[in-house]
Amino acid sequence: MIFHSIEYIAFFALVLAVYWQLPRAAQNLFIVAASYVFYGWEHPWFLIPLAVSTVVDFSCGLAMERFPTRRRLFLIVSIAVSVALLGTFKYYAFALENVNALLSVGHIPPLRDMWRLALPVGLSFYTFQSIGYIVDVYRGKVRAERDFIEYALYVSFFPQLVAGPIERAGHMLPQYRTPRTFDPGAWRDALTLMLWGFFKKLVIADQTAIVANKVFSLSEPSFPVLWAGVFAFAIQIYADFSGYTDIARASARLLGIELMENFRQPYLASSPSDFWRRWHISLSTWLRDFIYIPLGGSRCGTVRNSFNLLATFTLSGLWHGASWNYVLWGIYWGLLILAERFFSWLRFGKGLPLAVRIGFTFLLTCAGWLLFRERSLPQLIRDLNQSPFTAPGTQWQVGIYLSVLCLFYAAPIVVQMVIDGRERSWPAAAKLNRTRLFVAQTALASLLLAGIVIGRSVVASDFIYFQF
Amino acid sequence: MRPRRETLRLLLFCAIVIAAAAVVVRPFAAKNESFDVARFARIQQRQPDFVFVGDSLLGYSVDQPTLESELHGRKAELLWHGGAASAAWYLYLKNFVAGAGVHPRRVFMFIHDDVLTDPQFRTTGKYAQSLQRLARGDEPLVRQLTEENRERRWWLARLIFALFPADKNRAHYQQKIDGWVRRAVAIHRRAARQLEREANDVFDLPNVRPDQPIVTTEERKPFDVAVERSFLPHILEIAHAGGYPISFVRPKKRPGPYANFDDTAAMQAYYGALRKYVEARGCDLVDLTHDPAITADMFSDAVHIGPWATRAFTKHLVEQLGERLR
Repeated sequence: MIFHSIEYIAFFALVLAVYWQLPRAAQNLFIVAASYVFYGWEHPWFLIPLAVSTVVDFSCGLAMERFPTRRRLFLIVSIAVSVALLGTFKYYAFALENVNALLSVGHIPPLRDMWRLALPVGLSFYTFQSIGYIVDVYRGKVRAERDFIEYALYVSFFPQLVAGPIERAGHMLPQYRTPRTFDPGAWRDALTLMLWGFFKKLVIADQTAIVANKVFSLSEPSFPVLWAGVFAFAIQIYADFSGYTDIARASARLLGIELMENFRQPYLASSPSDFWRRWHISLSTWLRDFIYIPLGGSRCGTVRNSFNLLATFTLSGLWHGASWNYVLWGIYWGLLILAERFFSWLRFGKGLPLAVRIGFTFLLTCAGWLLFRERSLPQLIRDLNQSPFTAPGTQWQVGIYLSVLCLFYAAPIVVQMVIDGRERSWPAAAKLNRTRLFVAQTALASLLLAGIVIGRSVVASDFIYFQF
Repeated sequence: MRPRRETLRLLLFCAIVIAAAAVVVRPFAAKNESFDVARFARIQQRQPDFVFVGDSLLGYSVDQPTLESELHGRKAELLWHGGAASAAWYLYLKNFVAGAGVHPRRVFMFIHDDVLTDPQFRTTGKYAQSLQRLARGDEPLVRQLTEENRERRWWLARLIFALFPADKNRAHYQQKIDGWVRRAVAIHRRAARQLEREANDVFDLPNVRPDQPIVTTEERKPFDVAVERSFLPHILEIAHAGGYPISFVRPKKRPGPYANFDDTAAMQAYYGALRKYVEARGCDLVDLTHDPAITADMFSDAVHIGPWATRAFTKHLVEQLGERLR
């Protein structure tokens, strides 16, 4: 079931209506059942890997505390199962393709394709969340969950099941244990946030997706048209993913659960490392805590530290998809952050105005999005070979037109960035009295709803991060 | 007491948001179009001998004065609008031919791809308004065949569409936004039109990668499956009742990727089955897709004949239709 469907609106309304009538113990069981309905709506077999992951990690967590001397064994079993699930569904075809490509070089007959299964949506998200839990139990950061329903809810909580945020056990499990109270004020905030999320997805992301998809379907786009497409994709992916997160956070809030923030104005980042503190925060902090730091982090020599960084970002790329362009994208970011870190003595850009640094970081981010969006490597090489000097004037005009069109649709995000920036220094909302706040919130929500109805793209598309 | 007040505030919030949004979107709603009385009166008065039904492939290709001069005094009427598809063709035949008491010797229907058996094709947004101009009030068959969209059948979806009717008009406003941006970039109107043409050229099918779904995917229902839930049986029924045959004309596209669609195995099978189906019912199919006399230089784009070639095309068409125009 997808958020922007009539089915979801009806499903969620029904869930809310029943949920708030139930006692706390029954609430959790009910949400687990609802989550399984949500996840198995289109493909019921998607529930099998979800259930396997839940049962195995719950059991391993308990076993770790029951048999402390064998903690490492249960950790390995649990992680192995998660990795096996990812390998089976996500990386098998990619690995086979590459092995066969290597075999063909030596004129060796290719390996047979044993199976080809569809990738269950959200697999990468909930397996990482499960691994996070088991490692935290192993490290003694959280106690193993004894209530199976609460653990099942931690893995399958439907608002964040298919595209995150990748939550931590320490943040979610205590919330599932405590009674939730119906807070009408929080509901107003949540409904406004949900409308904003839908607006970002259905208006901004889907409108800019039309431009991006058209450009990335061309065999030889000229330099200005190509980069207009990259710009469109930069807006699309942010509006799409942060829109999803807003809807997820709002849905959870309506159920009395708070999810973590996943984006903090990433296109206002002033350096590559700053970008990763603002973009997909739940993944970047997960990679930091469970990959980068265990590898040694920055408390080691320069060479080892560089390796740790590159390995972490390469894995981040591979997490996004089983394709070389994602690996390249990860390496690209790893190299950028390495460059930023190890050439800091040059104080590159430090003396420049903030706006210039933000602009430069945005350009670097866009270059990264080209690697991310362009799946075919030969096509990527053709794209990178396009020169700005050979493109005729008419192509520049088309490129500018496409960019301005995308900017038009992205204008509400720009406004939000400005407001958000001001609120951090001047908490405007806090200064409004209750009545004025109510009026402002109602006006905003009404405009968002009207905007969705009028501006919703004629061509609807799935959330980009569903494929990961 | 206080929580109750907060709950009331929340309910008030929801009610105001829905009502205010409904008011804001109301001016953007698609206006209901009324039946095209002028066109109806014209055809009723002219009582043409031949009626041509189609979309822009007909309207841009056939020059009516040339056609009538080639017919030596017999009258022909073209019933078309840009983007017309099978729902519109059915309504033209039902309300402007049969409904106007016209008894043509033959009707020619210009078709392409599998549009004839795709009843939902081009029936929403601005196309829905075009259909309103052809409809005599409620058209139950059109409603039944075009609203088979799962979402629209749901009561919740119907409620949402009723509250926010602007949803039907989105494509229109998005085209306007496109136009504003083009004008802002191109500064004046003429340059904006030029820019539109250039943008269309950039994204024209020959520039698209061969692996793109638009070029290679053939998610088309086989003819035998599609025909059951289409307007075709009803179109043939009207013709049968009126006592005239229909010649379905499949025009040629400019040689290139668009035309390559016509040569796919699925398309050939589709048109083979269509030919059998209509011939069994006293009608026929005229396939121009491999006509060597229609050359690439006659086209203004991938599918339309340019204004410079319409007279030549019309004369050639009359030759090809031959006996059917006697």
